[in-house]
Amino acid sequence: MIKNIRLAYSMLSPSLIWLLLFLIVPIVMVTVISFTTNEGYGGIIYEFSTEAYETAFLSSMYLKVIWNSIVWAFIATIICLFLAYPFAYFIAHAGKWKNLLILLVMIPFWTNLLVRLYAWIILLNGEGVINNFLMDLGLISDPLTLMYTPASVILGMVYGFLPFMILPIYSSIEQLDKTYLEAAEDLGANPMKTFFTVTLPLTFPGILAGFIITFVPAVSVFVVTDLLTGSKLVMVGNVIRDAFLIEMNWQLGSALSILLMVLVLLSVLVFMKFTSSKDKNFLV
Amino acid sequence: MKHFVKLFLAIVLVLLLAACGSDDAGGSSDGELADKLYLFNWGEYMPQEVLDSFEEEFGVEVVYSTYSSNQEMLTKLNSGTVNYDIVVPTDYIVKRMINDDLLLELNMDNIPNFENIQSVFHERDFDPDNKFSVPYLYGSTGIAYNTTKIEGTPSYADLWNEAYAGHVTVQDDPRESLSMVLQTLGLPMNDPSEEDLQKAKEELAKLHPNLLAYDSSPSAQLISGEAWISHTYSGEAGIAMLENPDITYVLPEEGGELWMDNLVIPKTSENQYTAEVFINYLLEPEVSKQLSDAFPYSNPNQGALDLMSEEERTNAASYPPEDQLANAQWFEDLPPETIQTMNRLYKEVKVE
Repeated sequence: MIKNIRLAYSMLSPSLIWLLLFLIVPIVMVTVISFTTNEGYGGIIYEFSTEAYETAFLSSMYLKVIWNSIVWAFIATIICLFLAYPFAYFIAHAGKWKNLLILLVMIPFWTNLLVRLYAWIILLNGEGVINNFLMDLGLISDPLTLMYTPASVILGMVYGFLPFMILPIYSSIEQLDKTYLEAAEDLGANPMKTFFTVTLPLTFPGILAGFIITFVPAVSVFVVTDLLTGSKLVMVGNVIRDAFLIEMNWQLGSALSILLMVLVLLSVLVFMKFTSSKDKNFLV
Repeated sequence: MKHFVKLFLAIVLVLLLAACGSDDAGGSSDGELADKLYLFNWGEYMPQEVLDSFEEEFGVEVVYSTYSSNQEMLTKLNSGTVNYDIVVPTDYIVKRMINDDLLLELNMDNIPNFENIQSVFHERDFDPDNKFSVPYLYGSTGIAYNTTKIEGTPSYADLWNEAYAGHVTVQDDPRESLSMVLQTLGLPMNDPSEEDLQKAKEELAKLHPNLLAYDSSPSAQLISGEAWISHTYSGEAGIAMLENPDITYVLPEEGGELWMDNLVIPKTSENQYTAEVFINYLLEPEVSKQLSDAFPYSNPNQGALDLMSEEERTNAASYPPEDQLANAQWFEDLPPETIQTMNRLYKEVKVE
């Protein structure tokens, strides 16, 4: 028995070391730094201080930024879900085209998000492809403001993170046991009913996984706001990056990171709670 | 289980030790060149050909990493992950680094080409004896504008002109953009009071809807014609002027800001001699000219200036007329509280 546990741990140790070095240690460091004192020009003095948290909580600005980020990321994630589910469903039933379609979903992934966002700038900006096209057609006389708005941030996030949503949903639909569907049909359920009472609940783990891995990176992204709004809008990712790199206030950056981490965990928990009760309703 | 924990900790320890093991690149301070030199410089500020030809001539590979703000440079330098041999801080940051005892004293015997630097740039007040720093390039922050869209010579006040709405950019940096607003209001940019900053913030908030973007490198938008009037570095303007003949640059009547970047050797460097040889190489007139050819900032090197054509030496972005220069102000370091207030107000403008 003991031998088995030892074996199990030693086989796990590479991933445990990985977790320790690259997850636990950094989080501990960030937490420690968030409670240190700022020397003024950015040096860290190892004396206990809660100044960074006071700054973060006392100014409504930071909470507003975090709130905006969560709302925008949530909207983007929901849009991703509604786009990704039918798409994943279609791919899973595409027979011999399946692998090719999945490959096509993955290919943009091999290019850096930064480069792909530049493509959107070319499309969306005032002198861009879309505006020029509409103006040449005579549909509009002045260029539309397509960039520099919250909508463009959400567009950028949906575009950037859609594959994160498609892949887990695809794999859960793929693995769905077809005999359940046949049973539902035999019992007289129409396709609509089968989908909502069988397919959807059974693929729910995929939706949940997709939701989390889309929402979490989306909430902290900063390149999208930098590029698609010309830095006129900020998300919490921008504020944290600037705290480290421009303001040299590691304490504030760390405190905001911790705060964001807690809020994201909470919102994911709330989402899971909310959806799992719904999940039960599906089953009855 | 206990054994496992021991084993686990042992592995962690080994990994940490391995990470700490220094990779002695060799090289010393007395006449022997190292194999590698770690240069940490602003992005788009050092042409690759210069590094290649240095390697060809001296057999030293220069590893060029880039940063986009003085603060980013200081942060990475303080974190100690790489022992950079040369960094290129702006003048008021040099002063701060000298005060914090972060810099090595230069051995000027290894940098005879220092003579080439124009005498006005010797012994500046941030480094009175030129013990720690050698001028690299200098420049100004002013207005780049498109002459087909903007009538007359614009001043900073024109950034607020509603006729240019959606075609204005300002520097994406709290210090730079608020200093511009302070100058526009006629308030002191190097010693602003809390009240002054509050006023500046309100003015910046009024400017916000007029902006195309906050952008510290708007040359692409100037070239494409999307930005008509930009509060930006002279070098960015210079790059845009090379590509689009409608663009020109002016130091505004409110003043404009001046700064100079300097080559310094951080205390953590293990290759002082090689770094000094490299600095001396950069001060060769031909090499120095290559720097400002590639990135059209102003060159403090008289030798390089002598090699330039009349046209290059009277370029509006790199070498503004004397009367405009006299009006412009040098950045000075500010107390920490003022910097923090600026950072906060700048973010508030964007969030609100």
